[in-house]
Amino acid sequence: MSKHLDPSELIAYLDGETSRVGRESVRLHLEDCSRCRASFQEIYSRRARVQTALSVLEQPGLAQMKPISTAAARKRLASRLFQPQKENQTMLNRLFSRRLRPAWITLLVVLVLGLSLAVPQVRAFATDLLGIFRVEQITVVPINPSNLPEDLQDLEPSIDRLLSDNVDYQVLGDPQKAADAAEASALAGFNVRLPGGEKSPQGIIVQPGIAGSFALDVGRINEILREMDRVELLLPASLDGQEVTVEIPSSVMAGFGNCTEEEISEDAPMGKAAHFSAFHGSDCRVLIQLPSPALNAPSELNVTEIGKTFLMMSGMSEAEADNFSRKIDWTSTLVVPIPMDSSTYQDVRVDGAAGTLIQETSERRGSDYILMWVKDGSVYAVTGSGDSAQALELANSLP
Amino acid sequence: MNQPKPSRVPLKWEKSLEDKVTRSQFESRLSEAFEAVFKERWPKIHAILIRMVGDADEAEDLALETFYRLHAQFDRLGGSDRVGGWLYRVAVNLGLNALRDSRRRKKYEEQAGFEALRTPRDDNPAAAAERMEQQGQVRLILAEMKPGSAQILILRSAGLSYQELAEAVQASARSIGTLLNRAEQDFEKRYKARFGEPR
Repeated sequence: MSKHLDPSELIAYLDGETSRVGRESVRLHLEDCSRCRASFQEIYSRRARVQTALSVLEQPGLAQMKPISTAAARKRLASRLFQPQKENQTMLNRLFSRRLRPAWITLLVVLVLGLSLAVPQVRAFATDLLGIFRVEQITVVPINPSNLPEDLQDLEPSIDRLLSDNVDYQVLGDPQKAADAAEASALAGFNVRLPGGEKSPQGIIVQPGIAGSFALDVGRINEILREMDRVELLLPASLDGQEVTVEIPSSVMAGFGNCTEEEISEDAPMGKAAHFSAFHGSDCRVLIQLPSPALNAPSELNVTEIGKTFLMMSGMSEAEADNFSRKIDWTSTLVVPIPMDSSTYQDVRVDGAAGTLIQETSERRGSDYILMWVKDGSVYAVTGSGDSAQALELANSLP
Repeated sequence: MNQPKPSRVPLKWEKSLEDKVTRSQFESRLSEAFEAVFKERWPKIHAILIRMVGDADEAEDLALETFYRLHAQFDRLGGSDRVGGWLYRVAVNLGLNALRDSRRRKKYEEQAGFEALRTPRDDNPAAAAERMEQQGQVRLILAEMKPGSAQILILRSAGLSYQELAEAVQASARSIGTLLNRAEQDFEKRYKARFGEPR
């Protein structure tokens, strides 16, 4: 008697996925071997049970659901691909769009992973080792969305799940309107800068702050890392349950030009709904300002290495990533990934500080821009479409 | 205060003309190869997603997202041999992603419990309620399983051959038997642990 059959051979036999010769030999073996017959029986009946369970997903009322025809679907795809986006989709929103989400998720995960990594395994983890990160400058990383590693897409479900189970955040209040810079300052709790006189904004909204935390779930993070084949990044068990916290202070949005105000309550990056107000319109410029968000995390981390991993996962070669990562001070730089197939960016001098102007170049989105800079511990951005000189002018008119 | 600049609102006919122009422009922009793949694959991908999420509109959205991503990667994927596996993989991942959404899981938990919502058109409300309960249970289990295992179960029950499965889950055809067996065991184990013996 030859050796017993492996369950994988039996299941392939059951599925008719064995060659003819193989089929015959399995059949003969089963005739003689009661042990393999028993395991075949087990596989067979388990298959039946699983199939019965899965079959409830078949929709008896499928016809009533009226699934879209292939031709209609193709049309919708074409318009999604080529038609101009809705006006109220601001460039800021698009930066958080589904398409770029993997990049942001990676950034978050890599940060969190790396934060914990650098701590020596032997040392007990103490909260007083926390280092505080604040945004002092902004750097743009051009990424090629179609270059994002494929296995990252495969891991999206696990990563999303990790984040949705372990990230907790609260929106601290509701949006409020303010009449002028003084009232906005009082509501937001920082010194709001707005141009006065003729150049006063059309409307001012104070947006609520956000407090978030990420609890390290070492088991699941390591599972993801193994699936990514990045075993060198595996976390020590001692870090399990430690927290990384993020505080985003209240921000102030001011609309200039011809703006319409709208309540947005769409999915925030982590999949939870949040309520904010926004301005939009084709001739509308929006100035956003807030004190730098702060990330509290264990100090003594090898941020350069983490940054490099992030960049590589965004589609850079190892050499490029290495080079780039060394040049950035990761503890004080907000790294903004932008899709290089449809955007350009340039360094500009604005409001007495160094700024970055990102412009969309794809034909369907035409001329949307976002201008960002950091000054005296606050982050500023102007978004709009059309002539970006207007953004620079607005930025330079701040008192 | 600044005088608001009068901006001219386009007249209705101008807008519709504009739409037409854009439309005819983009109609021809999909490459022939992409068109062919779309035509061949859409019905199946959409059907798999309907089964997964149980809602035609949501499934349509996920299927569109799948092909949107395919469009971005199309040249990189090269030969159409690789496209099939890629599409199945990405579609099922998006479907699983949707199932794992925390709000949704809560809904399935409820369905899997007792409170099934019914639509009035059901002829047999008791049977429909039971079906919904069972669907909620299965979706919950699929959401909890390892992504790779859930993927292979869903695709096998959608009728893919071992060769097609191998391309979709990026494994060798020889390992499919093992993976499938493991996935079925895992499914059953979790099902039993949560809901007892299947009915």
